[in-house]
Amino acid sequence: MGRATGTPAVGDAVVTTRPTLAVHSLSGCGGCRRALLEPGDALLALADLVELTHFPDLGRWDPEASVRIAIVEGSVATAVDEERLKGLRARADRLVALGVCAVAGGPQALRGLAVDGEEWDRERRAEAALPAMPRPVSACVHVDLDLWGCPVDSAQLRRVLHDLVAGIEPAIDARPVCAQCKAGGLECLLVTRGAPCMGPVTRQGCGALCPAHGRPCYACFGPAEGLNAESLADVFASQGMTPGQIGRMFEFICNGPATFPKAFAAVAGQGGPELP
Amino acid sequence: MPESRTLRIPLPALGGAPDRAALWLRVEGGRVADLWLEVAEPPRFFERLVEGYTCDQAVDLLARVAGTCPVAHQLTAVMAFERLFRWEPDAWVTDMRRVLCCGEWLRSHAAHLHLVALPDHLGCDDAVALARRHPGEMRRGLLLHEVGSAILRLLGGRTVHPVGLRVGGFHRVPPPAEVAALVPRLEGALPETEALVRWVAELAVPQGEQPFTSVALGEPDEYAMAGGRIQSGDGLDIAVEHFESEFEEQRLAHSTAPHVRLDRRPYLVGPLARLNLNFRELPAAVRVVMDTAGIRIPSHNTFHSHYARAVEMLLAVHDALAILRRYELPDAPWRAVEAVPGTACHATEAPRGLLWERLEVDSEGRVRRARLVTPTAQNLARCEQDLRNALDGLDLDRGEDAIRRCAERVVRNYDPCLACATH
Repeated sequence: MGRATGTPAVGDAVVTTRPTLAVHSLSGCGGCRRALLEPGDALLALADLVELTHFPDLGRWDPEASVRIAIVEGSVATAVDEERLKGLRARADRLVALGVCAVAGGPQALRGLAVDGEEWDRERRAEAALPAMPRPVSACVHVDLDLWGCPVDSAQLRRVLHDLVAGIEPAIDARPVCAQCKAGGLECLLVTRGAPCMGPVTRQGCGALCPAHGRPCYACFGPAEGLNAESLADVFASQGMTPGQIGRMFEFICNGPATFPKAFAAVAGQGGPELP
Repeated sequence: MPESRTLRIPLPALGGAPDRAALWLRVEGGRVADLWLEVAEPPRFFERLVEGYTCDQAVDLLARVAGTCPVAHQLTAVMAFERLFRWEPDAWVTDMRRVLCCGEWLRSHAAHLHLVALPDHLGCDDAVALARRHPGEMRRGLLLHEVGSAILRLLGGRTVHPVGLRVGGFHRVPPPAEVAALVPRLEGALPETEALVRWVAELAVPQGEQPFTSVALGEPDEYAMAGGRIQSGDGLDIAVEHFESEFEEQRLAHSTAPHVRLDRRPYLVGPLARLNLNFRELPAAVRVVMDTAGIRIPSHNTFHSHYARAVEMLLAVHDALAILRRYELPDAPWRAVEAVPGTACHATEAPRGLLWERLEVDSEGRVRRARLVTPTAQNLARCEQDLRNALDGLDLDRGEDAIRRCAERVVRNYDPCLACATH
């Protein structure tokens, strides 16, 4: 048996009571699952917390095992992906969609804005047997927990895993980035510099990273709760941005109908994103 | 007529998902008559997705091509735009970008060696088993990975899709206190990385040389990372603008990732190709560690890529330390750049090898068309050659598992990123 066929390592023969964890990938850049390796020796701590049954980055290979927690990264790109996803859903107690690709389709879902939708790169899509659009995991199976972020935040992921292992329902703070800026005493770039900051509509979790770097937020953590996209679009317009520019602020890393629905409805298939 | 059969052997461990790669073999008379690597990673169409976005947005969007080398994608685009806009980075910006590259190389090579490659050569089934059998070495590998991560956080806030780079410089000036906190960690990493080079140099890797052409960026006075001319072991020496007249991208039915050829032949990019072409540019302190460890360069044994990764990790620690020790605050982290229409083009050395990008900019400063040529795509044809070579010495009647094990070890050595290759 080779590594790929999942021979357990010698030391694994010990009976374990640790909950089992599988890390599966669909279509994406692979960056979110790297959050499990950070920081430093977090990987060693993770191996203490859970039994890693399947995690290809470490050579762990047992995709068919039933597990307590399955983490799925990436968007659903092909019919084969969808079948595989249904199978691993059936074998997992809890399923976590990890990162924006899994939660909302990811940057690759920007295809949904194209005028030529169905026609777009038809030849290459046919070669790869790709349906028209990459889909979020929740479009195909029930998801227990969505973790936004492009990439996800490793500290947030760690807290969530500890909660799930302990049987606690993880609490996700979906207030806007503005709350983190205020808590961190950061200057408001939108108000003081007139910078086009997506912070007011974007979910926190990054630690207000971009404002801390002196740059406006570009919405890589998805939509905040209770957001008011129209109001922010009005502010951008009053700063001199065109509807096309505003649309491309809302339809960027996180996009599609699950993210900023009105922006998406207004721009999909019109040759360029625009808000009403 | 000798007996002929065709085998398809899935390589599920490549590409993260189980159905993304497979080895096809046509066997005649017990020998490999033909061989090809099926790649089925779904394309994400980044070259089209980026159309219509501003240059700065394109930088952040293109990072998403690759979770393991986002800085390489960002930096290639940033520097392509800056060259088109006739903007020259100052010494501070140039220095900080080299430090950033060092961080990404260190992190990427540390992860590949310890989590993916070394278990193959130390008789361990996977990284968890390696951690049990060689706990000290694994801890050291993860420490070096973390030092690379700390560099990325210093200059970009996070390790995956960092937010520091922009056209015209950086968004933020790292405060001297943060730099001062990192310097002792790099100092501590230096002897650890030297020990890693010596340890890796003693690995029992398969022997045997093969003819191949190395391709990498070259600079006159330093080991090229963020720019330079495209050079080969066969005397090619061109500006990055001429890439498309020398290198031919091919779409093949068996692979969603393109192949790339030079003079109609496969070639090698990545750590070993770089070291083969640029070892004379290594700092003396790195060179002496490499030489005393017994690493002989140039080498045409592709498994010596592991040695090259270890040497480049030492180079990364050495260079980042040298630059950050003499850190001074700049007047500003960035200067305004005026966009002009035209074709932007640049290449950098991603951890896995040469990354070339061409980005057309319209009169409104938006990207109109893009083309990316990634390291893994360039290495696929070479990898097929290498597989043919490796399987030539294998008794093909030993069964599928033996073939798969042999093939996986060869392919893993290239540290392939199928998401990146297919983009």
